[in-house]
Amino acid sequence: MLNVENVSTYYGQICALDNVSIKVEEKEAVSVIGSNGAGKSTLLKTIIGELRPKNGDIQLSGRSIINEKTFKLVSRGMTLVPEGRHVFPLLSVWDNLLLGGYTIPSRERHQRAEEVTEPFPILRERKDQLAGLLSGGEQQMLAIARAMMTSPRLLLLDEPSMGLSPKLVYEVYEKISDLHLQGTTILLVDQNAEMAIDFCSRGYVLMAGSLVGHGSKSELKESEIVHRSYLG
Amino acid sequence: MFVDQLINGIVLGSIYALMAIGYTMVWNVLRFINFAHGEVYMGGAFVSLYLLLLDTPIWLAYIGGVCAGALLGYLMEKMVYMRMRSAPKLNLLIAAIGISIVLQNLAQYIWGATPERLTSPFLSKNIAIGDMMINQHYIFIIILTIVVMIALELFINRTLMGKAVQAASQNINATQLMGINANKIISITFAIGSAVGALAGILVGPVFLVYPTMGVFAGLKGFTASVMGGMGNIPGAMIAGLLLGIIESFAAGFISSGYRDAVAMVILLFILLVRPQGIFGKVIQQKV
Repeated sequence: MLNVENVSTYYGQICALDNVSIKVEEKEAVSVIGSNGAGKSTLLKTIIGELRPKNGDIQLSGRSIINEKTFKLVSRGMTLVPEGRHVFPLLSVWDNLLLGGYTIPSRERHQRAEEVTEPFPILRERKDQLAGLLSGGEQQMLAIARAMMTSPRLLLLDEPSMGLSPKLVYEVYEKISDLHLQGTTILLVDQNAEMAIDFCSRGYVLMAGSLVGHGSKSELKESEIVHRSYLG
Repeated sequence: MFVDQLINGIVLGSIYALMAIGYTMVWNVLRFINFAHGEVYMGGAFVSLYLLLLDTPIWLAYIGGVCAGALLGYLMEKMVYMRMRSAPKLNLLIAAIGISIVLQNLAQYIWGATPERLTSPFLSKNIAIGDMMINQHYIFIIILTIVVMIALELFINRTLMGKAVQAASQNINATQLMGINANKIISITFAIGSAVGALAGILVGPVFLVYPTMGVFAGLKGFTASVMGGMGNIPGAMIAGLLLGIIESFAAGFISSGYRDAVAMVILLFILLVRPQGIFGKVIQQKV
């Protein structure tokens, strides 16, 4: 479904991603783990079109998307839940959701908002509240629900556990697992290696912009490099 | 005397409010002050004037001026500001001042420097309210300003496109992740803000005349009102514009017309000292 081939991305002269190749198949849940500054967010931003790679190619369902703009990729079935949630703080929870469905027909928007909030009853309770006043965990749930408004085939998640208490991290991962079980393909990056590996069927390890390993969930769990660097 | 000054103030304030909307809308999406907004005000008035000289029906000439203002704002953004999106804000500011000077000179080259009066179907008529006679054009300005404010309020808060404009003002990168073309939203914002600014110029044309530098002071007052109302706050800009007009009018009537600008600026300074975020600006505490 998603094929990232030999992609290198630079911030000015600084190489943030060096010749990275990853694959995500339909209905898969794939994680990318790595420490702070490893290039995980850069990878997702490059895939979603926020950053332009210097070389390499990215294909979505067999078609190159290297020159596609972010907003067009959303219409093509891929979206990103960004690091730090990025909800619209001065708009209500419900308006955030409706904006998430900007590209779907207007008559379906409210119905879809009802559907995506079914797993998140707290969002329904707080639908008229300003999104900026939600707690971190609630904002994360809103960001995920908002991304689901367009029923994406591929959902990219950037650090979904960041800044959340262990209980909330567990809760958020449970919701992401539910989305995966319902058929959404997921590519997730997280510093919380334990949760990310537990969640995925396959994963990649990024270090200083380069891929240093990949394998199935069990292979990653037994990998020395993962153990030494991330699982302690 | 009091009611006379109040009505004059509301009329003047309506113009400032319309101007302030343009500044504040552009600030919302790009976080910069479009100092060429005064020239959109002038451009709209000149295009209406020109269309009237071509014997265009008056309403069509007014609408033509508003559309020309929207187009001018749209082109400014597309041809200059969009290309400088990643440049330092100071560069944009200088570019805006440059555009402002170029447009003033261009207007002078095309239409000359002599002030001209724009026709109004109402200017020669008065309405009697009690003992007072109020010029119908003044009533026209007030009514049209109210209509524009209501329309803008409905657009911003009741339509998804309006909410996309609000979203872009809060986090322009995140709007792209909603499948929204942020460039289109910025263009729409410029076009609407400029259309409203051009309307202000057209409404003023029959009273204060049309000339190439007419937008300089009006622009400054509109900018002042947008800061007073809390930069980025559209209802705040509207109310602050009205307040500024009323304050100026009372200062002119009860102190001296020579000090009207000074009194307004002293009040602005006071407001900014007491409430740096403006009268209606909010400091929202966000949970993290």
